[in-house]
Amino acid sequence: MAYNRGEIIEMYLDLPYLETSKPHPFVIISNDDVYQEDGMYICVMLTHSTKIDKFTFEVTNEMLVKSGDGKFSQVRCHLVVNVKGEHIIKNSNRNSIKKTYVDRLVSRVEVTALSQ
Amino acid sequence: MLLTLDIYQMAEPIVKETKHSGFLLGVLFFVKSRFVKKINNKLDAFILTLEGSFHHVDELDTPKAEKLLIDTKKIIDDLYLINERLKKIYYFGDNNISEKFQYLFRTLYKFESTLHKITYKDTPVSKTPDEILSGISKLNIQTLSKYAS
Repeated sequence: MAYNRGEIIEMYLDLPYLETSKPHPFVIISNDDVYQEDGMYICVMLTHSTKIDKFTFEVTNEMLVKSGDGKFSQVRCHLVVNVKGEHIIKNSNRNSIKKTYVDRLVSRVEVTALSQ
Repeated sequence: MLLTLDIYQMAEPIVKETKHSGFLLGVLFFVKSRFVKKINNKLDAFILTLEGSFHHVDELDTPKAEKLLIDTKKIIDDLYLINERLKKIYYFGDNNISEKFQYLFRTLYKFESTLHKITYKDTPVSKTPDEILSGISKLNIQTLSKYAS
């Protein structure tokens, strides 16, 4: 698996890509089995929006493997996407969310976006 | 010059120091066993109480849910530290403690998420721009289309 659970990756959402396309950050929440079976990743979208609501999972600096940019960040728990590796923009300066906090995020996605 | 080697004399300090080690190890083992049993019991009690709380959490109003959410986050942080300390000493060689901590964290995450949902249930949801929704939809279709046959 080229990318790991918890890794923050970037993707273009404009398909086909335009010159004005802007990359968007996502966090991988799927495990190795998903990649082994179907070569894809399940991700949730990250944003710097400071508005907190029921779909917010705030990402603080202590949750990150490398220090963040200092800006407020949140995962939007209901913006889930299935992607193949080819959609991911190659970036050498990648960051990750620590395993403990990915488990916590997955629980938040389950309760706020997938449960009644 | 004839060299005299006295193995008893050489070993004396360590033999003397550890003469009563059997007794001391017994005491330490007893204390450790009691402590391990105590931690296991406390973890069981906490997990049971927490699971029982799920039946009542929906009855909380927003301010009470918000306060409990803040307290729960603090408790999770405290338990992270305790878990890290115990991990360093291999949970006193007791696998149950490690497993119970993992189960406790999963239960706490669900509890925290439920409280978050209640706390923000009346807060308007931030509108996702159409181009983001459209992009996510297109990516999902593109990735999953090969399975739709």
